[in-house]
Amino acid sequence: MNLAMSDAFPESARIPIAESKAWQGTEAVYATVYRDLLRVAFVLTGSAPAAEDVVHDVFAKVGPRIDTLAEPAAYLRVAVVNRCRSLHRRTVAAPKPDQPTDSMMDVGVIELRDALIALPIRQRSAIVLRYLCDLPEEEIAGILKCRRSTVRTLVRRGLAELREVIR
Amino acid sequence: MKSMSDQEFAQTETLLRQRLTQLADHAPTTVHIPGEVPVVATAHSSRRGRRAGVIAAVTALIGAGGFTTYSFLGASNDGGAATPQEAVTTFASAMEHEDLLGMIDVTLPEEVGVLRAAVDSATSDAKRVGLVSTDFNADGVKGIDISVDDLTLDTNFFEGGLAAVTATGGRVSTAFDPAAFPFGDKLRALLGSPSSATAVADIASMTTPLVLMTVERDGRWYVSIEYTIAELVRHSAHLDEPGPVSRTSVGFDSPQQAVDALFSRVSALDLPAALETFAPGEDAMAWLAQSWVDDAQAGIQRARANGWSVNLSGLTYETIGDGDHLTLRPLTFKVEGTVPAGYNQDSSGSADPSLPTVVTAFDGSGYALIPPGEMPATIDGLHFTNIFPATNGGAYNFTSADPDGNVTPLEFPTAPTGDPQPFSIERADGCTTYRGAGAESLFGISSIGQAVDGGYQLCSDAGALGGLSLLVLASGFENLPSISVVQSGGKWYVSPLGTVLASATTSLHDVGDGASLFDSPLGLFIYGPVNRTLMERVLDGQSVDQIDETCLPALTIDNGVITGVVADPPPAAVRACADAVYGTSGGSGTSTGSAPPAVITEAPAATTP
Repeated sequence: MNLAMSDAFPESARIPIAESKAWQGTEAVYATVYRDLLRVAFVLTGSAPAAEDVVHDVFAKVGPRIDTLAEPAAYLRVAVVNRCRSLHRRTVAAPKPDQPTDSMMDVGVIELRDALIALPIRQRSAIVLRYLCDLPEEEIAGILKCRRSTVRTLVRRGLAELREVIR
Repeated sequence: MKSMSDQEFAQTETLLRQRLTQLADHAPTTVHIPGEVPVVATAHSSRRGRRAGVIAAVTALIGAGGFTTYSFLGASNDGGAATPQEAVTTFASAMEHEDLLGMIDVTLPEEVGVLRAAVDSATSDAKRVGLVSTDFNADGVKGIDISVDDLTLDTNFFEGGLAAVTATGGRVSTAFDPAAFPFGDKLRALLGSPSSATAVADIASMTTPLVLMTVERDGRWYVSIEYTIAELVRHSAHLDEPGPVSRTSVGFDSPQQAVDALFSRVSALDLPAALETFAPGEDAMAWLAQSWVDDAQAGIQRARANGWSVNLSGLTYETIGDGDHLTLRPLTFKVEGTVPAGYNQDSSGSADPSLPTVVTAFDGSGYALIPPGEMPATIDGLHFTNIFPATNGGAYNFTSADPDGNVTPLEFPTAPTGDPQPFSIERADGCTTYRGAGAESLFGISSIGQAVDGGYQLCSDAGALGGLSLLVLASGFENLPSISVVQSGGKWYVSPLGTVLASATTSLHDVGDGASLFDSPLGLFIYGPVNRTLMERVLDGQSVDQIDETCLPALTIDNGVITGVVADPPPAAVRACADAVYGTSGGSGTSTGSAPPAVITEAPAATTP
């Protein structure tokens, strides 16, 4: 079943998630935040099928208790990042990037994806959380379970590695 | 690792935000409700078999198009279909039954000649470099069998006689028989003895919609490849639905004049005038441009006011092809211009005041767009949607809102002072030379270029940029793209579809007779998803003890340390190296080929994701 995401999204982000009727129930949350989570998982794994598996698995596990969460979107994002990281800790199950021709990417995007995949997963997660999700260092530190200064170091080293690719 | 200054850091942060957004835009878009996620049934086949199947399928398309070419010479092409769905089902049915005349009958007449030229070029070069045998018969490709079952379609009508026909269900089955397929000597040597392969794809489970665009002409409907490409771009970029196209085509007396006109109009930053150079009937890019050209033109006006200027001269070309369809590849050119004073050099703020700003909701669930130059203190009055804004060519500043509704303010650079900085970019003899203070501000070329008299130089393959990279004049480039032109009514016009196809055919054209296919665009299909640059970046400096021994024949080694990739590596060794490159292989002694996938059972806890 396909949903038009714009139909399920609240008009203003000022509506607290837990109080919005649009967010009640797993399906509504799923339809509303699914694509944002896919974007995060796709950038972290470099693979569309792996990203879909990660997001779907997270929803399958979290779904029964989603109504109890105060901030389901933030919670699910953390779960997706953790899931991507755990995939990479299991050597033989780590996803491989999609072949570039599958998604009509231009050369620069393919190079960035390849360079990201070449980064250690912790460094990659820090980069994605900082620059794709726009999270502050403190929140990233909480997700990665490290100190704020460590996040700063991870981000700075990651940027230095990616600098040539994104110019 | 080279350290970065604060200025470089800020520049890199801004660029990385934009590029990550572009990468994330390639994520799947379909929403599946849990419990209803469809299962894809795929027959088992070896990796080698699948790879050979992909190569064969690509080559078969070349062959199919080749037959289209020859058949069309004697076809009237006044067919079409009564409805969009009938056009698509006829097209699919004709493909299934290898009835290429039937496919032509429902293809937009203006596109058939363009396809012919591209297919002729690709077929000729595929034979020359040994991808297919010299007796390859374009009248029919043996060894490939395609069938479509239980196809269901949905039609969405647009204004102006257009309709998108989307496959919503059914199965596409493919079978590949390598013994029957007409491999060329070189490709067969690289692949060894590929096994046969079959696959079944469930259309409903595909992450990218299977869409064909159709166009109405005199009450009949035709399949359009060019509109299909435009619709895929529009869909992936979340652009609004364009209205009917209304434009004038301006023809030129020679192919060179047509391409000169396109480049000069683009470099003059007059995009509507550039669209006028497109051939009559090839309206798809102009149709798509309605979704972004106004934003782009407004951005250009702001850039001009800020001190940007560009002038292009000295264009000469290499002509590829013959007859009424040609591709012109720029050999020389010179771009001179200016960038605003202080551009990319002010570290007092990383945001660009000329760009719109995207505000991300505090929980990441939505986005609001703020016009350039504005920075509200709170989100009052902002309109949030869950669709990421797709305007302005993807260039934005980024900030976020907190749970109390306050917008995190951005730091804008202080107003630049002084005159605009001049720059020049000159292409000759396969190298591009960058000069002037503005060039360093634009490209930061000093860190990667070779120092030459008064500037820096990069020398690389001329075919690096694809045909869609027309608007690169202000974003860094080494060469202008190859442009295809078509003659109609005694005048020459730019062909957008031909230009897109040329980005592939000219790459094949550039493969030397004795060159390794590893460094060609075909390397992806034969050697897997790694290239020389990526392998060297990841593996150089590693000890051979850390690498699977089946990868070693692809590498150059000095005293037990990897120093590079050999000139013509064996495909099997490169594929083994891919595991090391993508981190799926452990240290020495670790087997990756037969181990079953680990079962992931853990889930986030209720309170700690």
